[in-house]
Amino acid sequence: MIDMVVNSVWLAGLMFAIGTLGVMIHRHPVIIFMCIELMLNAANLALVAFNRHHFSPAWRTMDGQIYAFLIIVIAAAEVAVGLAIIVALFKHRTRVDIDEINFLKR
Amino acid sequence: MFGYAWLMIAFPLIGAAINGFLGKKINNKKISGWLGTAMLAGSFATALAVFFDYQSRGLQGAERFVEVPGWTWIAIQGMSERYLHIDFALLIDPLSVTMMLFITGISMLIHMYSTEYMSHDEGLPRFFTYLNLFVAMMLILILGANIPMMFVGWEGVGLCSYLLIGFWYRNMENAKCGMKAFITNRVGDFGILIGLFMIFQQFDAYFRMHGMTEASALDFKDILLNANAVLSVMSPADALFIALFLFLGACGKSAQFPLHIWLPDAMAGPTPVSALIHAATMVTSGVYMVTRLNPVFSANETSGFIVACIGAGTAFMAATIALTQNDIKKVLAYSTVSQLGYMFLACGVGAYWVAIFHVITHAFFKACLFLGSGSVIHGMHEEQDTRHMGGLAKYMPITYWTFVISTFAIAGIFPLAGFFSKDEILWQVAIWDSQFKGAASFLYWLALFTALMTAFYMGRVTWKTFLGKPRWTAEFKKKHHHPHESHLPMTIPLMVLATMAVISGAILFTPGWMTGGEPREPLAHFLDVSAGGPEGLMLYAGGTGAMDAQIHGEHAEPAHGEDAGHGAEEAQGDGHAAHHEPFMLLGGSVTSTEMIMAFGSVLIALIMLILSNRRYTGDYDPKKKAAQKAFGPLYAFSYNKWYIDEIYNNILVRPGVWLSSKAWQIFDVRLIDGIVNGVAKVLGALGELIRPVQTGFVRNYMLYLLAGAVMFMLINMWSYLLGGAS
Repeated sequence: MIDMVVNSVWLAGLMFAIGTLGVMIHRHPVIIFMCIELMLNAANLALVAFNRHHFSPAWRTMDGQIYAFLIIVIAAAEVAVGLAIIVALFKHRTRVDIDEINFLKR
Repeated sequence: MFGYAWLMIAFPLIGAAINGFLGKKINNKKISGWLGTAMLAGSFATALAVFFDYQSRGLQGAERFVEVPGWTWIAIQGMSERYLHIDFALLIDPLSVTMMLFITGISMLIHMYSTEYMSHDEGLPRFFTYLNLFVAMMLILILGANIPMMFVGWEGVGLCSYLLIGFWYRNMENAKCGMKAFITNRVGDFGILIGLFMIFQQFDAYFRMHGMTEASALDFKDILLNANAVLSVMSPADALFIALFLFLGACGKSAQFPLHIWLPDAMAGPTPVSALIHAATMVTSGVYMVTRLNPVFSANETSGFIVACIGAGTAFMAATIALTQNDIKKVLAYSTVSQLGYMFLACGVGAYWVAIFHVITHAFFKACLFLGSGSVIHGMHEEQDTRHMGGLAKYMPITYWTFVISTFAIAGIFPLAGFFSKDEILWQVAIWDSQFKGAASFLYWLALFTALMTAFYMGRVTWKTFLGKPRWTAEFKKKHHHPHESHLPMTIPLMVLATMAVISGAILFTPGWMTGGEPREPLAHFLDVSAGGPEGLMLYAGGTGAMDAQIHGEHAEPAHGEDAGHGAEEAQGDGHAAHHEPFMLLGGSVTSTEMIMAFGSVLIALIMLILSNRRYTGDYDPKKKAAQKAFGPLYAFSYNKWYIDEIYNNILVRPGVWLSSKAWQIFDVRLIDGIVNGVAKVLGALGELIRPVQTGFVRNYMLYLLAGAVMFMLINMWSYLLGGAS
């Protein structure tokens, strides 16, 4: 039982690290986007795992799982907005490089 | 009762709204002008209806103050159970009825006159908007049932006056004259505000102390009916200060020394405005206010004496200035200041109804004079200098005769209106019964001498304009050949006003020596309760008016015991009773004295008119400068208006400008701007410092985020890590 939770948290940590590295290394917005999703899902996995860890028949707390759903909803909303931005960028210019999209800086 | 009186205010407001918002769309000067006039005709009809209704009801005593409810305007919950509750309501009483009758009537005539006078002006709809708005505000001022409403009207007419003085605002001079009027009036408003606050404070405290929860310290009716009770417990200094502060406000509005300087400059506005606002109506609102709150002024003989002195002094000063002015409207403007001085002289000696009497007669003849001067200016194609006139009588007969009639009226020739009102003022000064009786005789001679000058300068301006040889400019002769008489819309008002200038005096009052017994004074009886007549004084002293007067005669015993003596004293101090003796007796009796004084003043006026006729007709030529040479410095002193503008300029305006420019340079530029710019500079420098952090690369931001998250985690786990290490 404990092993499963520990393994899950390790997996979540790994996924989060991969996602973070991906955001930092990649230049294409869609891939960055996918990496962000990976990070969010890592968080979801960790939440669910800890919920399982703390679950007791007497308390029956489901907080972690409910938070996971909240995060899924937020992720969906974020996808809607983010993809729209990316599509708009594609329309604006043929090549989309995240490092070139720094109009606010100028 | 009298709910329809609201129509009187509504008509001009509707007219102002239509002309103001739709004037450009209508784009027809005839419609705009006659619409404004028709609205005033409606107003006048309403005023007449109110008057006859009021008369037919035969109200007595305190009933004569009728409040017409409107709507709740301001309601503030106080600390105790009493609310500060101010209604937008009208007060129909003898004073407001009198005022509204001649205000709406003269306004109607002047609106009619303006349709023709302003017919060549592009801004005609704007003109009628302001004019209608002015009448509405003036009616709010005189009909308001409480102090705040009066103040709304007071400021409203000031605003309209400002807008109309600067009506031809493209000329900077006119705009400056408007500003001068407005700023001078601010000084007066400071006074009236403090006066009104003090009244509120004193009366409210009294009402609270005596548990009179129904009474409002802002309501004219409540103030008047409890006046003596409150004034008797007030310290004399407070009463004096209230009166003086209120009088400062009246000085501003009614152009009395030292705040008279704006009125002559107000002549920059169109002539109908000068006639309506700056002669007949608005400038008399100071007299109205003093009469409305007359117990406050009667409470203290000193305040009355100061009012009388300022009035007589202003009358004298303005008359001396009017002697030498060349601009036809300037002469009339100083004449107005002078006549207003007479009114305040009457107020000062406690003869409030006589002041209102003179307000009425003056409104007729002065409006007629101003409209006549407008007709002359119109006929001479914008020429205002009397030196370039002369010989106009032949070409403008109607204007000439109405002007002459009004001149005789203002000079006080029997039996025209000015004779009755001015002589009654002089008589009231002569019989003023107070501790200042000695000084009153001096005021009498001063006022009489002013009457002498009045006759001369009015004769001068009339004969100079209409008689003698034509002295028209070469340019005028070339372009227009000769002046022309005005059309009917302009001459009808002239004729109506001239008629009123003839008859209004004899209708409203006939002195005792003419009737051979008691004087016939319908106006005094009508105004009694509002203007401090015998019955009014009973009311102010807490009595019930007519009943008391009948039962107890003059020795009524009002409800408040200790105020009785006060009230009875006051009752004797006024009126036209025979036991008042003038400061000197001529011919042995009071009646003969009054008669001789009246004959004397008429004789003086006639001599002056004839003298001025001899002087300014025939081969009179202003180029000779005979008067300048004969009188030298005196002439210069008068011609330069006693140098008062120059004195104000050097004492008040220049230091003010210097101070404010210094304040701007030091306080504004250095301090305020320094602080604001300094903050901006510091923040800018800080921004420059941390600006490089923003690289514009997403991966950098991600790194910062990650670093932040790791730091956060480490801080949270610090104790755990330490614990683990140990």
